[in-house]
Amino acid sequence: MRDFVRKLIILAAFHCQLFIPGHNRFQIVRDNLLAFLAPPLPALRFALKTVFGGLLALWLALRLGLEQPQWAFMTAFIVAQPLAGMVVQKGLARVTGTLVGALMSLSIMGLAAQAPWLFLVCLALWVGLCTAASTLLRSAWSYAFVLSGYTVMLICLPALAEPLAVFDHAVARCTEIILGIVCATTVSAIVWPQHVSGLLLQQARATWQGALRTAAAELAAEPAPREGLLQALGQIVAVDTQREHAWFEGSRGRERARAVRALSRTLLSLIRISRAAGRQRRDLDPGDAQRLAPAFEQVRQALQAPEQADLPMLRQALLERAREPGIGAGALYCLGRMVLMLDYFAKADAALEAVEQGGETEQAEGQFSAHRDLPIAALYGLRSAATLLTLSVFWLATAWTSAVSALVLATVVCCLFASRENAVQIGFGFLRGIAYAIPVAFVVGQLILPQWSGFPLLAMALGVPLFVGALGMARPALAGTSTAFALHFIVLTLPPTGYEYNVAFFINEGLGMLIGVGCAVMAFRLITLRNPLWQSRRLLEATLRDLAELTSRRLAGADTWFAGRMAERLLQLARHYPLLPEAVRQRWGDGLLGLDIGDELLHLRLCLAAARPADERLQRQALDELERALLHGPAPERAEALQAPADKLLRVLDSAPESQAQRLGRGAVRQLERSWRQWCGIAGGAHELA
Amino acid sequence: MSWHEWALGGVLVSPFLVAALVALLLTVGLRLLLRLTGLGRWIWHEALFDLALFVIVLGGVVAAMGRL
Repeated sequence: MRDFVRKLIILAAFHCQLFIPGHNRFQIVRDNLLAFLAPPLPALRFALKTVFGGLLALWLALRLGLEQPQWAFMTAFIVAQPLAGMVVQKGLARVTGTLVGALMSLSIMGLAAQAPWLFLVCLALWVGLCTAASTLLRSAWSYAFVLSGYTVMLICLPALAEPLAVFDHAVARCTEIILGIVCATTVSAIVWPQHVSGLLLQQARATWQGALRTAAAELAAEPAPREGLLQALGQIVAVDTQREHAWFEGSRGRERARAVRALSRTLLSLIRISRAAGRQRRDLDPGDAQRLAPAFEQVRQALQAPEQADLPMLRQALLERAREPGIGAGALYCLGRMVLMLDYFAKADAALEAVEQGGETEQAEGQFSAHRDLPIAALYGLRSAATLLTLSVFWLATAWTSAVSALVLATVVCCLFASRENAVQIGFGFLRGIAYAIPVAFVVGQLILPQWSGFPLLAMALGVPLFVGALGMARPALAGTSTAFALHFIVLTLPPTGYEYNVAFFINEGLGMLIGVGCAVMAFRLITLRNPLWQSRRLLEATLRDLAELTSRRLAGADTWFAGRMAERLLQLARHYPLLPEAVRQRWGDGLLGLDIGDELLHLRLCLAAARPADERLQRQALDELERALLHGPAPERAEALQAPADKLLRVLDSAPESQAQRLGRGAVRQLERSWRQWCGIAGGAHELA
Repeated sequence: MSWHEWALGGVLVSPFLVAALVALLLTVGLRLLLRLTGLGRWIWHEALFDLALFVIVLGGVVAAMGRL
């Protein structure tokens, strides 16, 4: 019995998130409380700025006699971000999305004003489409798609009873959103401006250091641990996302954005090549390994202490070593890779300097291509559409006016957090924010505001709770909950024009919100990518397709194209890693081997291009065979699948005149075969265990 | 209890809302019980199971409240 009670308590505590294994709950609570009681100076400034921008927008909207002043007020809170460039970027995305959404709402209303069901189906399709598009485009701009999706709902649903008013609604919505954005942007740019560039500088330097350290670890005689590589990749992807915001901070910011792009590409290539060199080092025969050990150590030291490194001298030493007589193909391959590494190292240095000092960088070729997965995006879109339709049925069946706000809120949450891994937790955070907003809004809206009149008193009544909310918004761990608090506090205290403001409205709205977010959370839980295995298999297939394309793709820009996509995939695989059972964790190894094979393929093609073989027809034929073999994927019985194309490629290389490139090419062919066999071995192991 | 709106400080509350709240509490209780007895391990899709359980319990509660 006692055991039962103990279990029950632990279970209850776990459900209320009081007990998180590995975390000190009291520390978290203390940190969160400190964010409100003793806020750091930047957070204080941010909160003051945000509340001031919002109140300015509200005052202007009231002064100009706009239809729904609370929209302008809310927008100022939605686009509020700590850094100036981020505000401009989010504001622009919001304006674009709103304008597209307003146009779309006019056309949907024009088409289906008389038929509510047809109207709702059209709406669901549009929202689904926008959600899918926003998840495909994994960047800060995806917010524009989300907004064009749900703006249609915000404009059309209240106007469904009187379709002729839809144009006025659309104009009002656009006007107020733009007013809110202008106010928030102006305030964030003028009052204590904080620029993205400062943060970007820190991040860029940390990324550069992390990548160099990882490259050094990859060169070691023993295989490097997974975590270092993962962290470096994560940093590179993160700094590349910040780049989009810096774009909006003047010409200096744009120069920096370009420099960051060059930096992240160079670092990705550096890591890739260091992996190749380290791999080859472990396969060298003992004589060569001993001979090259000092060279490896020199390069590693240079990478670990980049400030003191003398790159030109080191490069010269490596080249001289390569000219020594009797050096094997494998050792030559290693030296070649290390020289290339040093070149990328120098390029990364230059790019980092350009980020820090400003100034033009050379244009890197090729797009930083992203991995896109249509079926998964379609699934997310379907989820939004299904949530919308379910709640529409509820709305039309009950004819409850506040069901509209449930409908809107559920769809907004489904759209905004569609592609987040932790969508359920975010949804619960949102729900918590609403739960805090309801009592506060009751006190302010029902007890205080009826006694007070005039804008200064209104500003005080609204400003104090919102200031506290904005303090929370400045702390990343609390941002979701605090934003939800601020927005719903506004919705509950400033009712839309045309509604009578009383307790009934308040209770109905509060209930509608809880139902809406509850439904969104349920949708996240019901329709989810339940099987991480399926997703990682899809990632593997996409990798194989890319590898096959590498056999024929134009060489210029191919390495950034491949490296960018692979970095994103590896990060996705890594996120699934803890969810997978021990036996199938090889998927991560699959991803890494895919990256390595792609790298060897690129190197081989570069060698082929430099060696200028006589028999071009045979070369084309061999590469085609290679493409087919790669498309079939690794399996234990296919370990020798690369044998035939590899033999042909060796013959092609034999037909070329004697040169360094020809020798390097031979090494690359052998390395490719070896990696492939290794991959097939791993695939075999995983299949048996699965 | 009859199947009529409840008057709460001048606000009419639907009896269905009350039924939904009662059903939610009952579902949470049942779910905890299932987990503690170890039967919860056999559930294939937890979210789907929860939803279905809630709908069944809600149906039961509504039927019971109609009889009272």
